[in-house]
Amino acid sequence: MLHELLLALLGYTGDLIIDRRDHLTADTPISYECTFKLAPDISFIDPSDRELIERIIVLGFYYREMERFSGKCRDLSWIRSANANPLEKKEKGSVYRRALANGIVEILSVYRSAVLHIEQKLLSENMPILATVTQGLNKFLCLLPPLYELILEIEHDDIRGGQLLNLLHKRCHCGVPELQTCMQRLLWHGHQVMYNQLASWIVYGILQDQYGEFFIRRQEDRDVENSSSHPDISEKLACMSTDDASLTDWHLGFHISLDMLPEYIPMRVAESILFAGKAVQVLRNPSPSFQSGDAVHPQMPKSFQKIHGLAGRFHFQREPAIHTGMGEDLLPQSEADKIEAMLLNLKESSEFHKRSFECAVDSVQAVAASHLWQLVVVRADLNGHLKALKDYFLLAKGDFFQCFLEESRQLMRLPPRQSTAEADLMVPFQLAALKTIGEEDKYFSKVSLRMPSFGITVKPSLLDLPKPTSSVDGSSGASLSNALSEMSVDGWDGIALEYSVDWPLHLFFTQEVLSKYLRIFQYLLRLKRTQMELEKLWASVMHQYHSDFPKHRNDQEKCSEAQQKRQRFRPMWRVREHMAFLVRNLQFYIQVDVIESQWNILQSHIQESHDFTELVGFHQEYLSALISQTFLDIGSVSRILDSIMKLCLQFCWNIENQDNCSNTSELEHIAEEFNKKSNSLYTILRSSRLAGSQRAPFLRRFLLRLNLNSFFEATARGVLNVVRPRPTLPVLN
Amino acid sequence: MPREIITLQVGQCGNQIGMEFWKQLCLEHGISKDGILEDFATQGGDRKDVFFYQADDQHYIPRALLIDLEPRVINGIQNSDYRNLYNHENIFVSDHGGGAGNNWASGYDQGQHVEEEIMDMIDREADGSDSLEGFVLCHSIAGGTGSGMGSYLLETLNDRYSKKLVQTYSVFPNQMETSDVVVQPYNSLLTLKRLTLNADCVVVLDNTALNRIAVERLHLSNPSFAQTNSLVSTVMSASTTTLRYPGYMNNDLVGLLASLIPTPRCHFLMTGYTPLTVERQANLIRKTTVLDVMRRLLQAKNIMVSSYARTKDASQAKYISILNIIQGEVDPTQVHESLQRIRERKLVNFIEWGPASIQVALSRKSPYVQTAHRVSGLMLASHTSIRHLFSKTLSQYEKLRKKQAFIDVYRKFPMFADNDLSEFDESRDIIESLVDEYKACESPDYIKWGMEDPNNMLTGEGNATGSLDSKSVA
Repeated sequence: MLHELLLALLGYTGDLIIDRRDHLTADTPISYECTFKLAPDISFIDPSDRELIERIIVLGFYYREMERFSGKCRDLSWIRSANANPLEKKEKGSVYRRALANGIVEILSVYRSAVLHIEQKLLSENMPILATVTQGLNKFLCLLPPLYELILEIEHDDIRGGQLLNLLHKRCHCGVPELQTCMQRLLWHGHQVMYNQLASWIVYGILQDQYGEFFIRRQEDRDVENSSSHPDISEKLACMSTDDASLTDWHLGFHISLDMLPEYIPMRVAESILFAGKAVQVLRNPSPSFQSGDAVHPQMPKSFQKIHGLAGRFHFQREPAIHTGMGEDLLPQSEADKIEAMLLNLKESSEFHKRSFECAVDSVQAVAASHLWQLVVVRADLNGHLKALKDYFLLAKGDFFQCFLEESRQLMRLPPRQSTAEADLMVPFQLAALKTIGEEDKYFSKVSLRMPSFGITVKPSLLDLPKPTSSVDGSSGASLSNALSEMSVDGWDGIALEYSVDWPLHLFFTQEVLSKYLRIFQYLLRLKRTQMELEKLWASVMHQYHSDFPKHRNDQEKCSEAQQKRQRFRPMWRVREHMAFLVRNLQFYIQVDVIESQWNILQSHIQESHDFTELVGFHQEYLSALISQTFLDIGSVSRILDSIMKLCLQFCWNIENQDNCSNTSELEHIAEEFNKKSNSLYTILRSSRLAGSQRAPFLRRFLLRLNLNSFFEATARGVLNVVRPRPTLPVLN
Repeated sequence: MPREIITLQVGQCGNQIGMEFWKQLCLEHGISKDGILEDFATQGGDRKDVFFYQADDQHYIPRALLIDLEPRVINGIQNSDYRNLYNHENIFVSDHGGGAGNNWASGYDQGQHVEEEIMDMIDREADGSDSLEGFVLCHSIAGGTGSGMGSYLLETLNDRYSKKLVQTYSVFPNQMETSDVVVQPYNSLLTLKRLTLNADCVVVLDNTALNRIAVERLHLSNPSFAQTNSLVSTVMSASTTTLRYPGYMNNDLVGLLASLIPTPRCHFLMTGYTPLTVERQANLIRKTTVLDVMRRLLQAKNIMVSSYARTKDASQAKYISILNIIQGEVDPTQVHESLQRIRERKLVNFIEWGPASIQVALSRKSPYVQTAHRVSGLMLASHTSIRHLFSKTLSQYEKLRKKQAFIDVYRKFPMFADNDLSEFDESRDIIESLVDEYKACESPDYIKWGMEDPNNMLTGEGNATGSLDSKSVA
């Protein structure tokens, strides 16, 4: 009888102890309650012994179920069940479950040894008693039920991967030392898998995750969704190449799966792991063009000499003798070995220490970031490209764009031709380059001029500026003139620059980054164009003033006409000066208070930081500050500035075309509109509504420049206090 | 090529100033005395082409015309270390070499006679430019050649190059000493008419102030002309840095001038510069900041036009516009702080009838010239107190005219033949109305003033001003 009991403890039932379930097969789900029981027709067992036997055969049931679970997870063939047919597996595989199964097999082998030990004792005793059996198994009555509950939960909720680690981690916190030890051992097994995946990712940049259980995952699940949301112009500009695939991998290829992220790993650490793997992937797969260009090292500016001294600590080889496909020179083997050693230390530790794990990850991230920094900042000449973007997109090379606008001035007096606008602009663009840059700037070859060939009435999607709702309430002549002017102004507002970015700088200068530069560029170019027109008007009126006097002297008959002309010009001088003053101070504010200041901040960050991720953040801050402090993201201010620029251009062109008195009322209308807009601008800048926001200091800087002599303050106050009747404009026929 | 500028050096003073100017530019651009680029001048990005052109043998040659009616100064240039720098075909000395005798009429008349020869030189120089922007004239207004021939050139340039800008660096005579040119009020008045009508911008350099600065700031007991001219060339080179080291703005002359001249007749600018050195004090590296520079530029002692106004008038004087060109190691965030400080302390008295501000252009510096100061600055400003300098000239003129002193030497020339002195009267009228306009600028109602007096002719205030000035002198 006792032998049958021992067999039952190992999951084998018979006549004495029966299984309630019949026809057990490999795919029978794990039962939620014990199906083992004593046969009801046995009559020779005492009631007290029966109760005792019923209590301990549960262990046998647990043993068998956990063994079935382990076998299934380890893909072992179901050899013990003669009734089973080989059926197609319906569940997904799981390497984490397999690891757990390995741990469970360990524990079950301990249990099996205990049972064998009991058998030995029974054989050696003269009068074997049931108490011997129960005494040896008391420990397992504490262990097996929680383990059984564990696998029930895993089966029921299909827990895998990081979720499995989470579950095990929670079960480690309990009051029973033996159980805690068991759970920690199981968790250790799970961590072995995680460390393997981690090593593959951060040493080689390769995801080994066939069942989708690692918390770093590819983005392919969302590719369909993402591709539809990409803006059309981005898709149009993108052309697939190796570098583009690499760029996609960097920005969109991988993400952190929150489902699979164990709770005891902070998001910050996970992000470091994500970055490290991506960085290693980049470092191990250099672009062929970059490798071929490797022999020509960009000349390091003096400020980088110190940094280069520091970089020497990372065994950086400036003169690689052999180019290997694995990017040996960008990520030295010694560094990879170092990373691997750190992970091995973690792996061999019997217990998971959060602090040790985080320190190791931080070290790995620092190594990866440092080498990526070395690649991007030093080898790829990041600062040179930043300077080039400042020169061209932020108009630091003001003389070049001055020359371009001069050369293209006649062309831009007409609306752009839809099919040839870009080619038309290429001529003055190249001319300006020839005149101002020549062969000096090696970065100029990366700059291209673009004119999106959209209909004039359709704004390109890259332009984020809200379209001003121009409610022209003047006469019909003014409406026509405004409509034409607005169309021609808007038509050329689409002038765009492109900057071609090579590997690996496309990790830094993404399409989003370049579109921000483009947005600022288009704004600054319109501002410069407006200023140039106002200056040309100044020169032409100055020349008119010089030529008037001899005429006045020599021809007395024309004296009255010249007087009238000069008198008519006088108010226009004042309006022109107000316009030029506003545009000029806006430019000075943008260039000195915003761009130069932010550039200095960015440069000091580049000097101090050796971390690629930090640099990306600093550059993002730089761009956000530029957009914010130039009011491009304040609708109320940017709309007014936009309309002011339009009014200035209309003003200049009307005076230029003025050959009789017919334009006077139109000029007066423009002047009146400008006064309204500038007073509105002043009111908004002074407004307490914006004072609470973070951009208040910058509004005040611009306001200080505008209002240094308090003229705008007095004017706005006058306007607010006195409601002047609107003069009736004569209708033009 | 970018927007080129042709420099016309007229008269002894103009050529002395020009010589110092080209010395400075050669130093800044790494060009040797023979016009060859030095070996160390490897950094690009500077626009030498604005003021130099490159000959076929790679020499850099100034876009300059050296014009005088007597040979002394130009001979000095041709015998100096820089004799190989200039284009010899661009040098004009009159055949007789007798000068203009400090007579505006003589200079004007001689200019008329040699007009074609000089215009040929100018035309040749202009043809060598791809996109000529304008001319810069260096001269004195008190002598004979700089004033008379300079005046003729101003009129001729207006006729022949009406679309080009004309800027002058005009040295006004020393008012504190007995002048060796007794007729300088006549010459000054006649020149001022052309500066008012034919120039787009006049940078006024007052020899009285230059001497004061040389004595007080540079501690020179008896400054020579070379030393005061060096101050002028400092101003000239500083005011052209944004043209030669292009940045985001002020890359051409019109961009520079349009921001300073809101109304066409008020195109006389005064300048200030800080810190000033003649001998380099190499031992001392001063930690100058933007705020230091901008504050000092507003101090009268650094401004190169003396104040002739009485206390009451001086307190009413106002700035019409200011442009500060700051060079050196500049922290751009300090610009805003400086403007804030200036406004809080009310260091600037601005006009009230229109918007006005201090524009601050941050300019690059020459990498080849070592200076003792980390930051330096130039101020170009339109200020209504300039009218007192004109009033001074008017009052001096009236004194001479009343006595008919030295009028005979002018009658010998065609403009004043047959006792026709209307040119004097017309010049006086124009300068008086100019004074009136600057005075009106001090009033908040300047706009109304312009509308009420369309002819810009004499007003009662003008007479009163003239009378008052006469009484004060007497």
